[in-house]
Parts: sequence; C-alpha cells; structure tokens
Amino acid sequence: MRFAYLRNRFVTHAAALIAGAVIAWLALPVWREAVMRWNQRDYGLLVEQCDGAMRDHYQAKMRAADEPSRDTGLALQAGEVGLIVCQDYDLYQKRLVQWGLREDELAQMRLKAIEARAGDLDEVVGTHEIRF
Amino acid sequence: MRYASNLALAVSSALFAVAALVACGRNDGGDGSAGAAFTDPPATDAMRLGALRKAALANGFVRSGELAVPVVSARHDVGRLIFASPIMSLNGRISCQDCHLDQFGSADGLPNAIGVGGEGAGAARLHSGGRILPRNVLPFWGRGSRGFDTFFWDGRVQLVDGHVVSQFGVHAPSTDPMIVAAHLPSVEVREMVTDTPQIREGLMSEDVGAAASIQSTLASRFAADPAIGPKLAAAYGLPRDRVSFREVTDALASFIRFNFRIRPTRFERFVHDGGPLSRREMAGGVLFYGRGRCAACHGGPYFSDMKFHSVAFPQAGFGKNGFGVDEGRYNTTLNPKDRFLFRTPPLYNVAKTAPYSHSGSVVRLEDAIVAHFDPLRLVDTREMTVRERSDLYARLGTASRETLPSALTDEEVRQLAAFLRTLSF
Repeated sequence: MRFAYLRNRFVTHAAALIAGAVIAWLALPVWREAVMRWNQRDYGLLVEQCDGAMRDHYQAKMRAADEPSRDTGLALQAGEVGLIVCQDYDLYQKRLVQWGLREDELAQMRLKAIEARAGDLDEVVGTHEIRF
Repeated sequence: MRYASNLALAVSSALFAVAALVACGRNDGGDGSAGAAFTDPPATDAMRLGALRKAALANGFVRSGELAVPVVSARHDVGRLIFASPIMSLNGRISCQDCHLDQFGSADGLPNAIGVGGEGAGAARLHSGGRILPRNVLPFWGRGSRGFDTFFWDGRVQLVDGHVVSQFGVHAPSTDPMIVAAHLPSVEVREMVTDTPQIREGLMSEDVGAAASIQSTLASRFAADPAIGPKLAAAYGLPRDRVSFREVTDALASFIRFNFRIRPTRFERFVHDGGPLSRREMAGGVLFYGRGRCAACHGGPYFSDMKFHSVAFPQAGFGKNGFGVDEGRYNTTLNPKDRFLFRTPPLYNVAKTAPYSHSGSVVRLEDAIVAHFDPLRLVDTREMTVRERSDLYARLGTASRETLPSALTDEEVRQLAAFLRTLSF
C-alpha cells in the first residue's frame, strides 16, 4: 500500500514535470512575442537614431576630408559623440537577447522599425533591393 | 509536502512576474537612451563622461575666471549707481535697471521690452502703458568680458578685425565695443527717449551729432547729481564740470562687466574639477555636443559662436520691421543674405531668462529647443493669416539651411534642458 502510494506520487510528479515542460515549450514563443511587442517602440527608436548617427558621422567625415578646417573638425567630433547612441542600441539589444530573443526576432524588430516609416511599396523596395 | 509545493509555486510565480516586468518594462532612460527617467541618479559612465569633457574643451569651454576683464572698483561702484539711475533717460523716468532685473536673470521676463512710460516689473510693466520695443530684452551675462564683442540681437555693435563697427561709423565714441554698445540705449527712441513731436523734429536726425547732444545733456545731469557726480569725477580724476558721457558709459560698462561676469557653474566644476553630473544632465550634454549639434552654433566660451543664424521661432509682437516681421541682421547690414538672422544667444543662465527668441515668443526652455528642429510644432498654421504663414515660410527657408539637430524625442529635449541648467550660477 505504502509502495503504491509512493509510486503514484512519483508518477504524479513526473507527469507534472512533463506538463510543465510542455507548457514552458509552448509558452516560449508567447513570451518572446510579448517581449518583442513591449520593446518594439524603444528598440525601433534606437535603430532609427543609430542609423541617423552613423549617416551623420559618415557625412561629417567625408566633409572633414574634403574641406579640412576647425569647423568641419568639430562637426566630425560631434558626429563621433553622436555615435554614442549606437552604444545604447547595442546595450538594449543585448538586454533583449538576455531575455530570450534570438537574432531572428531582433531582425524582425529592426525590419518593423525600418518599415514603420515606409509609406508605400517603393520605399520598401528601396530598402530591400540589391544595388549593383 | 503540500506546504513546500505551495511555497515553491509562490516563489517561482513571483520570480516570473519580476522577470516579465524587467523584460517588458520600458527602459528607464539610462545613459541617453529612450524612455522616461523617474529619478535622476549621478552619472557613472566613464566613457560618456570622458567624451563630454573632451567635447566641451574642444569646443572652447574655459573656466569662468579666464573670461573676466579686470575693472577698477571705484568705477564699477559708481557704475552701479548709474545703472539704477533714471537720469540715464532724457525724460528722467527710466533706468537701465528697469529692464534688467535680477529676478528675471538680468532681463525683464517679458516677450517684448517695455521702454519709456513703463512702470513696475513683469506683468505689471506689460500693462503699464509703456512703449513697446519689438525685441526681447537680452540678459547681460558675460557682456564685455574677454572675447564677448558682438552686441544686440542683430550685432549692430561688433568688433571686426580690431575695429568697432557700429551705427556711429567712423565716429565711434570708443574702441571698446562694450562702451560703444552702452552709448546706444540712451538715444534709442521709445527705449529711453520719449517719442514726441519735439523729439521727432529736433533730434530724430539719424546723425551722431543729435546723439551727442542728448548724451552731453545726460552727462551734465550725472555730474550735477549729488550722489553720483562726486564719485564719478573722483573715479576718473576729473573735476565735475569735465565729466563727459564717455566717463558715464565707461563706469556703466565697468559695472556690467563686473556684476554680470561669468561665474563658476556645475558644468565648469564637472569639466575642470571632476565634479558630478546627474545621468540626465550627462545625457543632455552628450546630445548637446553630439546628435543635437547644438555646439555647431552654441560653441565657444560663452556657448555662442557670436555669428548670425536663423531659427524659425514663432514671431511675437509687431516686429522690428512691422506687421509681425523682424528681418534681424538684415536691418543692420542691408545684405539680403542676412534676412532673419540673429546673433546666437549665449547660454549662461539661460534657464533664468525666459521667455526665449528675439521676440520672446517661447516661454519654456524645452520649447525653445524644439523650435530648432521642429518649429511647426509651436504654431497653429490654421489660426494664422496668409501673410503670417508667408512670413513663416520665409523664416523656415533660412532656418532649413542651418546645421539642424537630429530629430529629438521629448525625453531627449528634457535631457538637453537639464544640461542647460548646469550652466546656471
């Protein structure tokens, strides 16, 4: 009798463990989706800001090379300071990875951020087409 | 056993809830990233703090002590009396101090200045029936200090290649632009001279002789004043009957240089002495010297390049050119390229000198920042007349050619404002 009780308890616990694992496995995509939804706005903003900062820095660097002067040098330095937002972007992204998002989900979030501004198909094509 | 299971379930539920909150919660603003901060803890990010210090120094930030110009104490003492004296105006009713008040950061707290006929301070002055001057009163911080040699919104007094350029032409009363600037308000109609038919007929001749005539009268009054005359004469080692307006303005300039000198700020202590900044202030500083591109114009020791730029601020009041138009620097040079340009305002004590812009049309510091990159947010174009919209388009045209900041979020604007408050003393 006592043996049966122990066996039943073992079976019950094993069943609970398996059920928990199945629920966790099923819940993981839901969890990831929730994390993506909650962070899309902030992450998308950082994607946009870092993109703008990189472009500004590139243009300032080109200008400083073409027209070296104190002003263009300071503008280049402003571009370098501006790149700090890309550090924020990177840190934010690492935090999302820490909370379970994979590169696929991050890429999806970046894509949404880029396409949030795309008003028509032409803009989407412009973003994605291969340029020779 | 059941108790242990329930406890484990409760603990794991709590952990899950915490994890969900952390993972899904908005970023707390951190070191310059998006999101709103509820608190403003000290900044500890060595990379950002170092970059901010380096950028400030590269853009010409110096200790306040390096900007001071020494003055003779007897002269700034008597200058203080002149500053507060209504003798400076022809009708004897208005002093410099009436529009440059301590409680408004050495300005008057009003959008447009109120000149002769104005009484009281703040809103009371606005409603006192005085003559309206179409521009915002400029504060005095740093005026006449080392390298501060471009005066007024339109730079009508300026040191160019070592020579003073002003409306006095070759008859400038001094080689010191600060002293030349101090000569102007006393002969500005509606500012310190009442606009009457007699004045119009007798003195509004736009020549240096008319100005000299008024100023000679004022100098005689100061010399005869029992409180000011003896001190003024003694400060310059002259008999009272030899005191001229040159001495009056020199003493006034000495007072302004001394009383409104730049003093140490929290930002100075941060840059030069390793003092603390909060995370929000640091984030604002990084924006100021980085993506905000503020230092492109607000660089140098006074946070102004002392050059002329355009920001499409809303226009308040009648405007220097009438009908709500102020063409700024163009009024001084008559060069079409200078339309709607104004001298970059220095930023020391900027948090104390609201309202902002050449016409004082913006009350909040945050909105003044927004005007630089999103000016249309500050106006309701549907409420404007065709003429007003047309003028706005003209200002937008010149402003769009400036070095524009990146589009900033509201939180970033607040961070910038927090940084600007570190320039107060």
